[in-house]
Amino acid sequence: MIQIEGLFKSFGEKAVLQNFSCSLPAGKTTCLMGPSGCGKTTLFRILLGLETPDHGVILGLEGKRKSAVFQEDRLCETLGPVPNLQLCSPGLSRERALSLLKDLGLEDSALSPISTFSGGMKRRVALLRALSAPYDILFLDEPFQGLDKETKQLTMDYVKKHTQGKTVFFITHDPGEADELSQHLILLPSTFPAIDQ
Amino acid sequence: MKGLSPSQKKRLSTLAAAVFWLLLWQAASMAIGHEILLASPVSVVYRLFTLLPEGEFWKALLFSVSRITLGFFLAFLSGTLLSMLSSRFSLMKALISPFVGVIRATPVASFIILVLLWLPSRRLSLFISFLMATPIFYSNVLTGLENLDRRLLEMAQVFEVSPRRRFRFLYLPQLLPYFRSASAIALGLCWKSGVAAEVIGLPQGSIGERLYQAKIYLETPELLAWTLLIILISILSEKLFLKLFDLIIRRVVSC
Repeated sequence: MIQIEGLFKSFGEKAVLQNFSCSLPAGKTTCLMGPSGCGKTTLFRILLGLETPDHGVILGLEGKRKSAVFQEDRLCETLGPVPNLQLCSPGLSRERALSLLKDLGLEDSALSPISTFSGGMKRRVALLRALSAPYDILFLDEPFQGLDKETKQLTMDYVKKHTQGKTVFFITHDPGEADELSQHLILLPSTFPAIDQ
Repeated sequence: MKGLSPSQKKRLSTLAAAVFWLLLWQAASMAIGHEILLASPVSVVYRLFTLLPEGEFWKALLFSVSRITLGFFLAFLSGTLLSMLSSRFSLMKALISPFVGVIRATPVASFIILVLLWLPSRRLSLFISFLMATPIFYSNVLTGLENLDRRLLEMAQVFEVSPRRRFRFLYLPQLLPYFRSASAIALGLCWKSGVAAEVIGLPQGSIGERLYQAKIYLETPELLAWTLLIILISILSEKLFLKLFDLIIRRVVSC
């Protein structure tokens, strides 16, 4: 269980998180929903250790390995998909990486540099990178954006299958995605505190 | 021009331009009628070929090439090291940047004369090419470091990517284009400043000394033959180095 208590974060005069508290149950997928600008990505970055909160505590993250799909793909554009996966999973063999790419329909582009990939293809590589890396907690920030309906369903099924019993923190705007994947929902309105359901 | 590929068209137009200027040079030389004032391209190329069998020619070539090339590689190392320090520590940047600015703004002849007071003339071309090229590497690599994609570095932080893998997969692919452009500029500058240093310092057995002697004895065809040789070596070394560089880039940043 990850416990977030009394989190405050401001950027200059703008208060983004004010006395935010919630818990992320272990072994479950927690979905965070809320309107744009309500602080979802700030919370995501704080949990990943990329931002420091002004006040508040986060318990249960110490020593845990993290993996993530960011809002942007954050792939090495000059490299192919296999080195991109291997970068974050040093033990991953080339054969295993190729098999993972095949799972999400990317086998034909396995030797091309990421710069030649479409937005949807990059997104799937970013997802495979996060899923293949060794992790204790998986963080997903709008992981299915840019995917067409069919690919999105295939990818959601794949994520659901591979995150069973794992601790996942998942941000989305899409209630359909939340219904499909989450076992625990947090609604973050533009006014605080959060509604934990 | 029909049926030619764009690269063939480009090559053909470059060749046509070169032929045009050579013909103009030949015509101007013939119009002046004095080889001392303006040697013709034919006599310059002829003089270059007569220099080739001379042992002294190759010794002079080796003397200057070795020193200028060493100066270039030392500038590569020092410029890179200083840019890394500047990118990491703002105090270092505040200290180094004005120094680099002064080197850039000072006429190379002033440095040559000043350095002649400190160093034997044999080491002059090495030091001057090193001094002139260091700011090029410093500025380019520093720009590269300051423009590194922070989002990729954050990704590496989250996934706990090892420093060795970060260097190979994140830093190198982003910095190599800056190194490449710096090398292309610096190589030409090393040759210009290195030979200028030799012409002023006159180290025995150097290309600069041969250039100076050609000028003293009014051997204009030889003067231009050495100049042509310097241009050819400068272009050749740049092309060779960049080919090698691209080969490394392809190996490092392979799919």
